[in-house]
Amino acid sequence: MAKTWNKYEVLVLIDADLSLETIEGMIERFREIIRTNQGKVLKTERWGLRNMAFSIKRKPKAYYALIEFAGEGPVSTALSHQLNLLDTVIKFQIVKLASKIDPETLPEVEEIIDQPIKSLEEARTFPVRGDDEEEEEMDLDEDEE
Amino acid sequence: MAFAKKSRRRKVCRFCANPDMALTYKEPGILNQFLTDRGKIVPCRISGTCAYHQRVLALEIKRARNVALLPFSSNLPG
Repeated sequence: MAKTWNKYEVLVLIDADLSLETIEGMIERFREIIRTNQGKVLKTERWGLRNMAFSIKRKPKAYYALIEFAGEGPVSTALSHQLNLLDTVIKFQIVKLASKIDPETLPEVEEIIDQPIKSLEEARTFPVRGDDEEEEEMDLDEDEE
Repeated sequence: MAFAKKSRRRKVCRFCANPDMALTYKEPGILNQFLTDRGKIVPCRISGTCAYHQRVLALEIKRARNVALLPFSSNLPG
């Protein structure tokens, strides 16, 4: 029976007090964990420093990094186990994007998207796709019965 | 007078009307338009979102809240 893979993505919130080199090293380490568990890294997105909507572990901001990867079930388990052990990871979330993927169809090249946002001012005005579209005001008065 | 009928524009699901509009937790700017000032999810009765998209929207808002992209609640005065 052919092996079936799943496609996941993990969003990791890294402690913003660390130096950028350390953060870079950590992102590389996450990718290494995926690779050593017979997974494949598809995409790495660095969102950079962002203000969080609420503080977690008394930290107001975090460095966001998103890694898209594919592999069999144990990859995500191993990754979440490793991430749980790290103190410098404030929080992470693994989302399954697709299941029963044929590993042959995956692209060979790894995509790297960089959006280095270093200052807090930039983080506040983080470009959000489709944000400049019609900003329709929704009428919130509950007058429909 | 009491029952003066207002002519209202029919509400359309914005995700059906515009398929390019990404419905994902990674776009807090879009999801934010479906939150009240207090950070609650706006019901489809008010926003006009269709049942399918409202379900997806609620899931994605909750995912975004988990990673602090959106607030669980915001304590505005009043």
